[in-house]
Amino acid sequence: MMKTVVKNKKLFIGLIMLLVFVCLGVFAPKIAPYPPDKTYVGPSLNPPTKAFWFGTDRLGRDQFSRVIFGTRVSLIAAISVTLICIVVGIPIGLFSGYYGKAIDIALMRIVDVFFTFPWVLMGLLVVVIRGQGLNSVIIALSLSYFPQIVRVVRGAAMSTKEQDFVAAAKLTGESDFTILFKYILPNCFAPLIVQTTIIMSFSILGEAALSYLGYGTRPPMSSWGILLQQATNYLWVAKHLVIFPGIFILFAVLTFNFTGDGLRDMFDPRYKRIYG
Amino acid sequence: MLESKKPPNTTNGSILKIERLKVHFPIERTILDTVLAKPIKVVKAVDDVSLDIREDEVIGLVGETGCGKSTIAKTILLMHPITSGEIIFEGTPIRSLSKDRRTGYFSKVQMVWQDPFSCLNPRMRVNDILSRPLLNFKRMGKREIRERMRELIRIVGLNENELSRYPHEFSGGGRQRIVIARALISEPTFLIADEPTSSLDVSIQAQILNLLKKLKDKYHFTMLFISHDLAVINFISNKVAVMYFGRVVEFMPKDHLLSKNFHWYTKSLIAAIPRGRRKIYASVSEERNYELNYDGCIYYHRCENAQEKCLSVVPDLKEYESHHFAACHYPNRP
Amino acid sequence: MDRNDGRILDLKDVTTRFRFGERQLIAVNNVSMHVDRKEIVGIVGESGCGKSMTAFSILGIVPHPGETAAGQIIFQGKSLLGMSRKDLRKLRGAGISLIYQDPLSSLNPSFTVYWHLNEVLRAHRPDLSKKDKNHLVLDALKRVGIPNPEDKINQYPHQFSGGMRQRVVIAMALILNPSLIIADEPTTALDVTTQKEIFNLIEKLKEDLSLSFIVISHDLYLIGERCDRIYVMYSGQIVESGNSVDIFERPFHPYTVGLLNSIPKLAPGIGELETIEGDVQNLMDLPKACFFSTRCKFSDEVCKSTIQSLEEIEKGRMARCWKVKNRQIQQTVRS
Repeated sequence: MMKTVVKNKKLFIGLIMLLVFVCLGVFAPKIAPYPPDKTYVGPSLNPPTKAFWFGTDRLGRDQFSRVIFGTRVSLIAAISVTLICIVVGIPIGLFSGYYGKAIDIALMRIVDVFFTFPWVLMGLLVVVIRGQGLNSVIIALSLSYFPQIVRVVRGAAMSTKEQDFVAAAKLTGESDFTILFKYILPNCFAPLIVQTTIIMSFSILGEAALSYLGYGTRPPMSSWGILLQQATNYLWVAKHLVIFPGIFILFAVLTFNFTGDGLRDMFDPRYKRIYG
Repeated sequence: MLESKKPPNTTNGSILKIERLKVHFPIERTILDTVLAKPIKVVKAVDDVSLDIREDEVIGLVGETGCGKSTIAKTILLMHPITSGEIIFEGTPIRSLSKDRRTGYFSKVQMVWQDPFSCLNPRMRVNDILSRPLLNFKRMGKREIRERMRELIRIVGLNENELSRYPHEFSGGGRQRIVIARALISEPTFLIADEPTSSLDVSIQAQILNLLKKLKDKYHFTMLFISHDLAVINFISNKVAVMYFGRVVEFMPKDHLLSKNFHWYTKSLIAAIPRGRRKIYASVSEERNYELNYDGCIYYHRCENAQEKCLSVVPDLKEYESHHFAACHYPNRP
Repeated sequence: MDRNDGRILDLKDVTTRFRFGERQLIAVNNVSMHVDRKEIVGIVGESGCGKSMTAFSILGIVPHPGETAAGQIIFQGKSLLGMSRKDLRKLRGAGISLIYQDPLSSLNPSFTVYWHLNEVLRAHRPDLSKKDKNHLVLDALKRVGIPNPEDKINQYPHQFSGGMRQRVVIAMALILNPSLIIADEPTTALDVTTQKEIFNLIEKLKEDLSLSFIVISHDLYLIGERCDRIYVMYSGQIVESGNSVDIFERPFHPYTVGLLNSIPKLAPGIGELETIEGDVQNLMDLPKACFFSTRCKFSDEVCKSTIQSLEEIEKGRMARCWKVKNRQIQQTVRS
């Protein structure tokens, strides 16, 4: 098993990068030299120097510390959104795919509403209803992305239910509930895991965007989106303020893309034959 | 403990009776078809089949692909709705089985599937797969279940330590043994084997056939064995039913399979089987016209002895000799 | 293509292997065989024995990452292994044709019968006029016994029965007058009565057109009945070869005998089938011994430690077993 992971370069790199990010997030207080919201620890709007690796913003806060702490917010957002999508999406997908016909039609029409609703507008809507904040962003993104999970699980359920072992399960007296969660769901894991990593990378981007628009986390909590938003005012004089949050967003998305691609390759039966 | 049952010593009772069974599948219609009131087209997978299966028998159901034999198996197992006719198991018509009675039905009627690669959940270990029927059908303690599993796995020729493995770790033959173990673990009285060896290599096929025969002789369940391979049917059955296009055209004791075929289709089937000795055949026959619309014998367009009556009257199964039935107006008298 | 008398195809020590990192899978292991004019040669064996891969090696269509690494393949005097891709492509369909198992998937459901046959002509004989092409198409369909081909050419594959579809595939295979047709399990997907008709057709074509055939199958009785000579393959090697009548009357190799005994016969009163214990050999970890030794009831220490080679036991009969060569085993086949 380890051998397959190591041989799969994409997965290997992805997991290493993921580990780095998780460490950054978890050990942020130890890694960051300054508290992220402490003002005037350094001169205002300075480019990167030895003392302040990523430079400082207008209020003299250390960008490096702010970006590191931003990792936490992004990770929390990504994990929360993904978890909610899974918990909500899997049962809907399973029921829809397995029972089909009327139930499928009814459920999918409801899910379609969320599917077609633009996520930025969803962010606005949620904020209008319950106010700004990270939780609102998480709710908005979850509502926007859970249809992806439903779609994937439904498809996998529809093809799995045609397999002989499902009919055999009925013949051994299994209840519908058992069949759904013991027979169908475990066979949906492959595409599900890949879709999960995709949602994680969407969440990073989505949180950054919604925060940039002002719907999400409020200062002093520093998310990468907030950092970008604050940086736009000083674009001409302090380019460094934009670059570093941007790079971190880029790498975070890449991490999940690599991991997702790598996992997809690993689950491909042809792949197993070649790499053993 | 699975008990070696003694064979029933009275005249065998009927365990499964199929009476004039029809299973028709409607072909999907578009709205346009409904509007234009076009006639509803159906696929007559099983068209008026009657069969009486008695205790402790092995009925070989043979026919070419598409003849309806698998459909009959699936209908007995409640996977297809009955269009008309009855299937009566141990005195109860299965149509009348309510949802909770079905569990009891499945504890007595089980199936060995054709493709051992797709009928086992790849995400369940063997011990899990085998324990499910016991958990669902019988109230057995954990220890009893474990004992029964160990017993079954040994009976089918596998090792006890293989119980913790996953299906994909086994070869085709190994998986089929697991399937057989799963089917027999709840001690069914009726076992349907639907082409159980067709997807296995020849050398493995022999092992599985021997195993089925041995288990049948030991536990005296009744078996309906479905195959397109006449040699296999000849090996394992004691009665043979030949199907063609949804109908049973001949039903006979196994000994007559090679010596006495009343129906012309059976005769041509037996003649077409390669026997291994180098032969040169003289004729090249052409394909016949299948599109004739008529109400008579289903074999009319391929029959070497077809006559006028065959075109208009459907032949019913007639007992031309003791226990030997054929659906033919002018049967072959060998 | 002109046909010289004598040998059409000659394989010498052909090896096809698949490399996966450090491991390798040898699918075709030092295989030598030949096909003469107007012969039907059968290759028989179970799954994984290498029979299909041998056919692919001949035609140069071994799937990636496989490669035919050693040996010689001579077709009508020309070596196929060194041939350029362009020349090989010209050969396929025109010199050697291949028929696959399932006619439903070898034919494109979106196109008519005419289109299929026309495609073969278009690829190899772009010089032909439409009139000539039509003539060849109808001629090919007539040769395979399809009645009223003029009506059939505009129909689609799904409108035909399985047997008819396979005839169309055979028509595609012979339309350019090849010398050799390789049929890979041509009737496995068909019913036994249709199988009989298809093989009757193959025999007729052999006679009328002086064609040679290689028939690949797992059905030993079918091969025995319909082929002139047989090669029995196991784990990538040929374990027995010879005239089909001889092989059935006096099989030599324990695997052949085991196969013959384990197939249920159309004979009354058999209690139990003789079986070959164990499972088919894994092609990745080949032992330095007789590949069949793990399952053979005659195997001993010598068998399990020395690589066996194919030896001539009698004129025209080869077997890969030293015990057979030294007449140490007497075997009978239950009839």
